[in-house]
Amino acid sequence: MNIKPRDPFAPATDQNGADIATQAERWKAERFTPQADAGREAKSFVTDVGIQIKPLYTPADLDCVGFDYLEDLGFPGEFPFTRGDRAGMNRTDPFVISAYSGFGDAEICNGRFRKLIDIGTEQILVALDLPTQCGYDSDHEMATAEVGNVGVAIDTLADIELLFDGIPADSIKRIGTLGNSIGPIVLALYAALGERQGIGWDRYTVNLQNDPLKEYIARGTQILPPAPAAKLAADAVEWCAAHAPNWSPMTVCVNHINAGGAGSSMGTAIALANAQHYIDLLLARGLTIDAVAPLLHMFPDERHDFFISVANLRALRRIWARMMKETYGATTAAAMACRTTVYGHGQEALAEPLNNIARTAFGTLAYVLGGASYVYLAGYDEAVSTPNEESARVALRTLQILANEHGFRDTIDPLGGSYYVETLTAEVEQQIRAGMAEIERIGGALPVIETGYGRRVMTEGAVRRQRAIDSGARPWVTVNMHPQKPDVPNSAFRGDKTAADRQLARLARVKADRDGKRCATALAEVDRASAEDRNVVPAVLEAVRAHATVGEIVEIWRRRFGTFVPSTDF
Amino acid sequence: MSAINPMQARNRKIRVLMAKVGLDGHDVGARVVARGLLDAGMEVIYTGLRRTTEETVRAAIEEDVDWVGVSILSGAHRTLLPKLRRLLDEQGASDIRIIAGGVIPQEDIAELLAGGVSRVFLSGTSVSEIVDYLIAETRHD
Amino acid sequence: MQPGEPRQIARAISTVENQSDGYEAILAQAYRLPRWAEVIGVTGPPGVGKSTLVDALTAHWAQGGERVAVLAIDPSSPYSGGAVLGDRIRRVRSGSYDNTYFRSLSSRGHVGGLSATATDLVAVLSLHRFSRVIIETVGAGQSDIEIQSTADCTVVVTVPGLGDGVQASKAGMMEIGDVFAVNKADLPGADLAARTIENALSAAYMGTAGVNAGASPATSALPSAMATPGIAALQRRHGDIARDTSVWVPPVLPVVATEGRHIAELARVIHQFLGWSDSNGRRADRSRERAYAQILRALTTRLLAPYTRPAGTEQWPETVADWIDRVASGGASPIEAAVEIMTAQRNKTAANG
Repeated sequence: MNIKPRDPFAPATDQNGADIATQAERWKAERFTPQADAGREAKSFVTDVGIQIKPLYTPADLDCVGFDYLEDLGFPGEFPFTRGDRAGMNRTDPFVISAYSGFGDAEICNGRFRKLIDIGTEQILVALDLPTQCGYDSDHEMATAEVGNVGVAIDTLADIELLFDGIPADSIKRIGTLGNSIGPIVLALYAALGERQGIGWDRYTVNLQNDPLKEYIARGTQILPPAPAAKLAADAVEWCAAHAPNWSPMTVCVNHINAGGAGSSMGTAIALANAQHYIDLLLARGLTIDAVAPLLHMFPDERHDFFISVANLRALRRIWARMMKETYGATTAAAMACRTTVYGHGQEALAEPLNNIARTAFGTLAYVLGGASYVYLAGYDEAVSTPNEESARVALRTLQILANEHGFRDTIDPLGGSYYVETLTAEVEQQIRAGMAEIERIGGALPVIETGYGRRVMTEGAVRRQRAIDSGARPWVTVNMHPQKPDVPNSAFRGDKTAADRQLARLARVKADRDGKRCATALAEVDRASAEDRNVVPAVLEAVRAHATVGEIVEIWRRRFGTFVPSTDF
Repeated sequence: MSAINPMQARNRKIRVLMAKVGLDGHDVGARVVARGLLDAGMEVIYTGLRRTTEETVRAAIEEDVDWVGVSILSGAHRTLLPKLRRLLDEQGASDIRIIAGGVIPQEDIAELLAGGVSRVFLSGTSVSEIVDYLIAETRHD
Repeated sequence: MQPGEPRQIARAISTVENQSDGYEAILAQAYRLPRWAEVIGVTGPPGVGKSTLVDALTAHWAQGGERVAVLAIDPSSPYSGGAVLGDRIRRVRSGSYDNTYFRSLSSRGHVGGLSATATDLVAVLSLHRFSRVIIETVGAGQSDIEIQSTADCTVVVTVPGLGDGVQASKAGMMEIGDVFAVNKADLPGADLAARTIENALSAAYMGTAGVNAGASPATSALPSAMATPGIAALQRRHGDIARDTSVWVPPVLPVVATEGRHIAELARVIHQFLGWSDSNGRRADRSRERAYAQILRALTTRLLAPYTRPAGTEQWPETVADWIDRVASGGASPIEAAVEIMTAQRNKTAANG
């Protein structure tokens, strides 16, 4: 490799002075095109994000995208952080092996957590059931048939205590949950958990997704209108800045937006617009960007094309660094370095589910090579249920294999400098920036939701994907290639009836035993803080200590802020 | 005017209510199918997320649809689909038929078909398969 | 509503919309009603919250015990003829009232902001004892022109930040509104949006919002010849201050439909307009316009039936088949063809006796 800054108008040359671009054209015409013309190209080579992949990449392609090593890559842990958000990356500071898990009630789920930790899980993100995520208690009418189905039911502090019974908050690297529409409540629950376990907030790390804005277009657990929802999410971040600066109270997500059809580049643009919305709210409260930015993580996602995935992670870090420095005036490396959480997926299929082990491993490998910090891997049965014990173990073992066998983390940014990967990184960056410019034109993150723009982008993309599958343009083994009948096991999403009954009994007991007056007073203060536009976290913390339920707190917000009704765009 | 009534065939459109019942918020599948039905010339009424079965039944009746398509991914199908069928029948709308899509275990499919669901399409079914089914099975009265 | 009633209404609407067996009988009965439901049209560009406003108005009137029906119209696909109808997503407040009915309609290729059968459906809903029908137009702007003759009162909805109202006037929205609503009035720029519309209106109207006494000695001297075609249209609907004894100046109201704020106020102004147009015969004028349009449509359909190619067929109707190639290859003008075709058809009818 002999890459140095070039005059963009000078043609790339090799050491013998031959013009590489001309040579590449010659090679293509003489050698490659006859092969292609003979009908030996198996597919279209258009990626899910729409970038057309060439048969060969050379230094001439780097010239085309204006590649400049020092400006575009630099060094790991230094601006613009393309090669890594940390100096040592996986060599000294390996990605954190993480598990997303939760089902039934706290009692049964606690057993699973202990097993996961036994076999090497370093971080647990709690999967909540839909009633909890949507702010309904287990005894609410809307919770019928949903308690404990796709995650664990959490109604009060008693549930969280039981969930982490025998698992001290500081015994693993991070604990946390999604709680996108109930951010301040889950934050308060985890803060109160430390209090109950006698562990100071500075001694453990809580990670939350707490990214309500993507719910409106992608995931569907939204409760309040977007503006107050974002405000409450920002409250959680602001509280952490003051009381638990080592926590990660917000993870801004691409994954659901991409999975819903936007594609990883547009999904990244929308997620970055969401991040900017939260950041702007926090800066308006007087916080500095150097204090705010390190509290935010990004959650990139690309599950179709391996090298686009690598490129996306690298482009994201570069864009984030420049955005923080140039738009927001960040001065510290911690503020400019984009830390990433990823969840390894492939195109998982219902038929022959064990094949999904290979798919998710490859999808995750791209993230590892791209330099992700916190890595989860989907269970092979995740398309049909909350992972069973075996698939959770296989996911974890796959991560351990990726981390320790094959030498995947022996050197930093191993694909850096590849003509192909650097060209894709530049092209993906361009796509993301174009998306961001478009979003800025329509007015930012909230109009993406309110005007139906986000939904339209996603529907178009989802339809395009479906057509690519239906037509065979995107090969999918066991679906459109060697098709097999889908096989949904009978265990799929089976709510555990006994778990739901236990949960309802525990909720009734907690409500009967709690100090009703203390709880009512605390809830009234939540309402006052919400009405007066104060940070709600202190009031919510006192309410969860008083065993107020998730549903009771959310109900206050529903009355105070109203509920969200989506745009009629389809 | 008696000899020609070209309107008879011309104005009849297959109407489908696409419903999300329960709390599951993943509606990519529903949206992709809706687009496919649109492309096949059908009229698709979309009611949005988190609708109760009662709301869904009322919408189906007011909109006079031929089909209610329910997409479920959270496992609540065994409770919600039979209830939907029962409520439709109670309101004299037994001619409005139900198709279900999503992730539904094999052993539940027989139970759902017996309970008044006309057809179950698993995730990954091609849109044209659904379109063909609806065109073939819609009753033209 | 009685048990089974929504089902009957829905079936009747399908019968008329599809023009399937029995639709003529239904319409014959419906058009014999002495008085129809009051029709409120809600129109405006995309994204201004029409559906939410319709929902809020429906809930408002339903709460007072009225039977309220909504016809929400979305565009059809020009290629497939299908449609995705999403307005029902916004049926949030009104959905809890049994005395309401909501129907999503596709425009089914009809241009003008409504569906071809919208007026017929108002008749059907009147037959089913609805006292009020709210029609939400497609919302494509300029082309949503039909609502002004279909509705007894047309509400034009806008929001702050829509190009300072320029868009509304460009889209021809200024000429069709009896009442204007600035939705999302809690957003910055709401006052500006309202003032912009008021300014545009003041170019055409004199007086203050609502009912104004006209034709005083002071005003009768004013020239009325300055009227542009747009202003002339307005004067026909709302009165000419130089000639008429009473003139309506469209009020501009701020509302926040999502929270139901100022909806009662909007309803009151709509009632005021309906009362005004009832008392001076302008509502009857509008009914006549509507009747004329309907007769014309019925005539068109029937007169053209022998020459219309059935949808989904490639076959030219027998009546015109001979002329297709002649006109296409330069053998005759379309007008010559039409004259000949009509003559032939007339002779055929005469021969059949």
